[in-house]
Amino acid sequence: MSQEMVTITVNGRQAQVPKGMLLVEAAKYAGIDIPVFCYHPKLDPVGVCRMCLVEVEGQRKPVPACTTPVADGMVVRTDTPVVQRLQRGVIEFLLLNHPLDCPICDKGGECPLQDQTFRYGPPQGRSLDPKVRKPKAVDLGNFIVFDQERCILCRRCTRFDHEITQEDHLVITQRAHENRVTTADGAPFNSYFSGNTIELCPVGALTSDIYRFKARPWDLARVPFVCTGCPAGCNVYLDFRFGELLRVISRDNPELDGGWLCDRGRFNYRYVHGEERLRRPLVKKDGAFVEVSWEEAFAEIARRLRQVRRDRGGAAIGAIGGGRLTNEEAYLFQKLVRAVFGSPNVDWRVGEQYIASSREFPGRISDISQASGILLVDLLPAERIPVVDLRIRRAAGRGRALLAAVGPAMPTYRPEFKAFPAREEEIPRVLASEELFELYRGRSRVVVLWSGRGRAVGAALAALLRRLKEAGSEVSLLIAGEQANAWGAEAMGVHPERLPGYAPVLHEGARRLVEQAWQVALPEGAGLDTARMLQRAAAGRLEALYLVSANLMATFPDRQLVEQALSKVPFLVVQDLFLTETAKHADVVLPAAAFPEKSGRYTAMDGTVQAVEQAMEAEGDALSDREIFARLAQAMGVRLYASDQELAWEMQHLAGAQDGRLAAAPAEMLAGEGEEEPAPAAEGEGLVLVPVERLYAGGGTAYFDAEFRRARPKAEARFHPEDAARLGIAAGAAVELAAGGVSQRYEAAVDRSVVAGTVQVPKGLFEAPANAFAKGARVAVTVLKPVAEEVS
Amino acid sequence: MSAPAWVEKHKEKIEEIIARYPKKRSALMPLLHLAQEERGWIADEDIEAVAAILGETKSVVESVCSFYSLFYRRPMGKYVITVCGNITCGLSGAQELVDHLERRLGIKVGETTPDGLITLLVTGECIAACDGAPALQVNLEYCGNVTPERADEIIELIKKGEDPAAISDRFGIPPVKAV
Ligand code: SF4
Ligand code: SF4
Ligand code: FES
Repeated sequence: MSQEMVTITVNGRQAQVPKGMLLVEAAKYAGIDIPVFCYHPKLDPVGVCRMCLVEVEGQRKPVPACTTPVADGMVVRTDTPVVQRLQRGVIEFLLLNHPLDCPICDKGGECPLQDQTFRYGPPQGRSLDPKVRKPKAVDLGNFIVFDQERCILCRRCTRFDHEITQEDHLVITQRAHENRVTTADGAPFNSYFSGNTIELCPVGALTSDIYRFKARPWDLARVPFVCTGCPAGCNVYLDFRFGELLRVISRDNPELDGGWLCDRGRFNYRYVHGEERLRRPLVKKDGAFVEVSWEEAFAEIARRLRQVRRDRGGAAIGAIGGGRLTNEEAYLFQKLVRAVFGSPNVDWRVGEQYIASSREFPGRISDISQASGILLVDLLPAERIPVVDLRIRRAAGRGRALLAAVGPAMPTYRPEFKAFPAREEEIPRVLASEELFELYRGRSRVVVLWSGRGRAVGAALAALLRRLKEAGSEVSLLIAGEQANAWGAEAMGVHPERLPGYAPVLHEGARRLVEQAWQVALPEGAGLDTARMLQRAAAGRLEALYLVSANLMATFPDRQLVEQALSKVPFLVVQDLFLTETAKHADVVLPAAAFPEKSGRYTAMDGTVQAVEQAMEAEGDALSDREIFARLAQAMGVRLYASDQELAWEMQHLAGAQDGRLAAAPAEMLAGEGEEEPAPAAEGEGLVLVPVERLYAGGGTAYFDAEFRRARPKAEARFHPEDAARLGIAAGAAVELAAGGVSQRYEAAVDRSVVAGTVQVPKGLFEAPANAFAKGARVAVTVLKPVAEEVS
Repeated sequence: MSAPAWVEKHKEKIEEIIARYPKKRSALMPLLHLAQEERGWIADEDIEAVAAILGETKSVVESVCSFYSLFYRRPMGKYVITVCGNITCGLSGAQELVDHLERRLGIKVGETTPDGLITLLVTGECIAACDGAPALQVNLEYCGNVTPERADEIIELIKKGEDPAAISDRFGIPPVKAV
């Protein structure tokens, strides 16, 4: 699209700029910086601070550059005595009640107010009156501490909270010198995106509770990195001081994050140095873990696995995990299992997602912003891929994209959206309905976001998308993985039926290609998937299990099965960062490196491959997963790869990325190979239990992070108002949910977004593991205590 | 919290107000007025009700409400005396007037007499009556050149239950004569 250009002159310099561009941006084309406070390129202009006033020829009064669009022939001056006087005036005014406590302010050293005072401000203020004092350490929410005195009322934070998240927690109340930023209704500012306001704030008013007073900006060493919290693949900078990770901030990637981060990605990092990190290999001796050397740990694993292989064959070994690893590590993981353990049983799937990508309906995260139709299937984007949700909100909020959601739990959005509540087993029927098809028919660009759960859903989706395509829509299917690198793991062949590059494991030609590259014979046949490995193990028919960053006790939908499998399997190796519930069952525990401690590539949920370089030394004796695989292979007498180059070549050869993107899974995988899991029981009495994801839940990094743990969701059961009324449940009541011999206590909440006839509980809670209930269970509800003590 | 009575009582009026604007949000101020007319002040449940009606957060409603000093967030007396605290009135004896009213009514600025009749306020903003400084308002009706003596008379009328407009007729600011 060619854009009309106009010519402007700024301080005597000419520039060609797109017509209608705001002067503040256009001046940059002429190499001129206009100082701003309230203006931010990602927010709508408001013109409240007056720092950007400039003179435009032919205009009687100076104009704000942040709200004035350019016109052809505009002649602008930003350096006249008039403008300079105005700039001095604005700064003097802003500093009138500003505490100037720069020496103890987190922003000092990277503060626009400091910098611009230095450059444009008066050397001194003239007021002799004492400054207005305001509260200096107001806790706004889980992570944000607010200094009211420092606030210059630029409204960037409130505009972000209104325009970008559409949540409207933060507002400005009162007027004149009593103006202040607050949540007004007294509720905490617990947006999943609250941390972005710290970066937006042009002064040190909004600070991070975790980073506060920890460092001066000039002492920080900055490393570009990629967030590994989820498959959104947001770009970040890691800030280190003397080797300690002190801060995570955004690194704008317009294709992925658009410059934003969620609070999980931004604040859940201190576990890296946490006391609960595993720092030495552990071996269970007489029921208790003892620290051992790596050599001893490897020797023990090698001895046991060789023995299994000799006595029972490689197929008696199972291996699960990979969705948290880098592409390289995922590749090496399946190679280790297949080539060294001699087992076909390797699977990245640790929860309910069965597929991570779709070749037939390709798409990019950025497509959401162009979409004219967005369909969410069995997915709460804010809980799983938060920053992607900001795109959805924007697209729907501008009224351009039709938004609908199908699933057992409905998201909450400010803009109108069509809700199709459906229990898991009902979703295919809804997807096949004419109503849904008609809704999207004729929309030029349809993007579907899905959880990747349920083969029948996958098949129904494929059918719907084909129909829409035939009807002329451009369609994309984006699958939001439960783990950050699900796509990479699947593409690298961490799959019982697929070799690297999705090559079918039973295909002769494909087998030969891999065997030639590896110079070994592949194990016979297809492998067992996660559920079947666990079933075999529980039945005493699997001799060894190797779990890599797979906390199955928390993630697998059938906790009892996991527990049986883990207790029953004769030899269990767990490789992880923490002694998780799962790891506690292990015979050998291997301490793995955390994300900043290793190099490699991660694949975002649209296939974008991003490389990172190790940013810090590993804690204790922890090793990267790559190194663990290589050394374990070595202990078993095999060299897993000769050099990094050879590994890169091998991966490119078998499962290469093109143009920085990994190929997606072929169509037949979406349609669902393998047996369908039995449909959950739906009939009967009681409310249908719907375990839902919560961004801050989970038994791993969120749980084992002393500074993040406070934000973890409580055990809360959410009821639809009608069900609550019928059952006599008031918000705050203590209730017990029971089914199939399992009972758990929750605090009741009443929420209109809950689908009537269901009760929502968080997934992945340590204290109330929802996966202890059978999938799709109907629970009986008992009120234990009508209402928790009123806090008055 | 259940919705305050005015929501049901003025159901049609509320719909009519909302229909006036292309954006629902614009009905925020008129709805606050409605709430204040009913109760005499704006309670938390009114804020909540307006938020619910418009699909806004409570924060947004509170933010707008708090900007305007004439939206009262706590119970007020039947008569609200608002003395102008801006510069012209200040130079013309507003402080003495306030001191006098405080003594006379036995309350401090911001308080209401125990019988619930009179609340005394001072504005920070100019009430646009400089020609009658020191000036005050009785329920938004103007009185000018308010000396302590005139103030006493005004209070007497209030105690008799006189209509604020009638009080203003007697104590109002005379129109400026052309010279
Ligand atoms: S807290 Fe910061 S971003 Fe928010 S209004 Fe104040 S100065 Fe601006
Ligand atoms: S959305 Fe995902 S990738 Fe982005 S910051 Fe949050 S956790 Fe990290
Ligand atoms: S930057 Fe233009 S008015 Fe604030």
